[in-house]
Amino acid sequence: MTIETKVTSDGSAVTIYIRGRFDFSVVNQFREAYEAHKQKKHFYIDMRQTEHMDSSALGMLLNMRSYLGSDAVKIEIVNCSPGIRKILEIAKFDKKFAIS
Amino acid sequence: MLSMTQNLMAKDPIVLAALGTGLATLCAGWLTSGLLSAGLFTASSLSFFASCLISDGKQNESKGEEERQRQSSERDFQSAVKEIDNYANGQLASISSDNRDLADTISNNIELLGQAFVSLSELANHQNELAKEIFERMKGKKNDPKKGGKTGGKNEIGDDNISIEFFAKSLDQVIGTYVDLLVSVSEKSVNAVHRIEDMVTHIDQMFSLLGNIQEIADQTDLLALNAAIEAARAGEAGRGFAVVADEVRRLSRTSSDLNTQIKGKANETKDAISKVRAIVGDVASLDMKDALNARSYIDQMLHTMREVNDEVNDAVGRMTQLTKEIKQSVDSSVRGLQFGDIAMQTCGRMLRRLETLNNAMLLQSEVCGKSAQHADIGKIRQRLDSLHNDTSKHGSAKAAESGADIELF
Repeated sequence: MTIETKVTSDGSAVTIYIRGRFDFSVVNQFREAYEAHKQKKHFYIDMRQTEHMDSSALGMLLNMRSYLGSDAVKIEIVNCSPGIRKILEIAKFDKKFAIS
Repeated sequence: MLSMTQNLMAKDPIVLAALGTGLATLCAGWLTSGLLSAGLFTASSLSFFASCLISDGKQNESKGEEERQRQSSERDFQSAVKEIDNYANGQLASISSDNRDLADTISNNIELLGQAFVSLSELANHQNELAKEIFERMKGKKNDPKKGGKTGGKNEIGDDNISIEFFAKSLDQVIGTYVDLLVSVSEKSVNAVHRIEDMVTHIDQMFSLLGNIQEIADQTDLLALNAAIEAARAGEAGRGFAVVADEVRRLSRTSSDLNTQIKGKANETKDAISKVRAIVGDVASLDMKDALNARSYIDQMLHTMREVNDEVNDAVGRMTQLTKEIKQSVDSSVRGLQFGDIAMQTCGRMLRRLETLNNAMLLQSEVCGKSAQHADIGKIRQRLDSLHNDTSKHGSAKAAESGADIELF
């Protein structure tokens, strides 16, 4: 599994780990990962093991946001590599997501 | 002074020769120096010599032979004096003419220099203006004042003074728009893929429903078969029922065929949908590298442009400073040219003094031509006084010095 989901011990937040390539090949996995926890209000997208991402990843993140409701849910993108951070900045994702 | 020379001349005619050599030496000195003062000194020597001559003629009048000799030597002397006089006059005229030439040369060159400096100053100003223009252009600030010199993001194309920075910013905006579009397309494509997935799920559900229908058809077929068997067992009485059972069996087979056909079409649809999914996936999946590269290229370009701008600004600043310095140099040169006026004034004074000297020499040659008895001392004094007046008119300290020289005469 390139996508793995873990719920924090207190059950308040969900962390989605993405390994390898974050692209169209994981579109269903990624969708299932967040749809399975649609009642949660806090999500972390952990990218420490993400090697590459393309525009479909951006599309997936935006779909996740609109599916969960951008106002109700907090989505944080964490542990980005400099290259991925640059892509997110070019796409102005730093204004839509919390990036660290 | 006159009496002293008389006493000196009383000794011997040999003294005359000695004096003549002295005069020649003095003349040579005057020639080499070419200075007015020297000329004056010579003139005074001449007058001294002439005075000697006059007194000489006065003291020797007794013996006839000696008288004739004396007269003859006096004639020689007079002609020598005249020659010297002519020579001195010629030199004076040459000096006057040289002086005029010098004045003309100075005046002409001063004028030329002045014109050259004025045009140099103008050129420096022009250069300064050009430098400023380049500076403004590089900054892109040379817009009409209505915009307040500010080039905002809303600057319209067609403005002939688009700055490089504005150009780069616009390019950055275009790339930003492109990236936004890319993200928007990806977002919608991913959304479409999700909907397609939903459709596939529905089709799969349809397949299980179709499976149910197949089951019903199979059961119906089996049921019809059983009915046909029972009808055959009933014999003649079941004949009619056997026909119905056959008909039901035929229907169930047709239903099964249709079911298979629907399954086939549904499978085709599923294939088509998966193809659409792949295409939409391609649309959604665009490499961000190009956009990234373009963005970093623009950043780099902007950075370079700023450096170039800074360098140009520096150079233009230095140029403006240099132009100022050139202007200052030109100004001080123009001030320096005032020496020309001073030189001209000096030339004028020299010319007037030469005239006075000429007059003095005229007077002297007249005095030399006469003996002491015939000379009208009063008249000579009067003319001397007028010469004094001429020199004192020049007014300057130097003129006063010259006056002192004339005093010797």
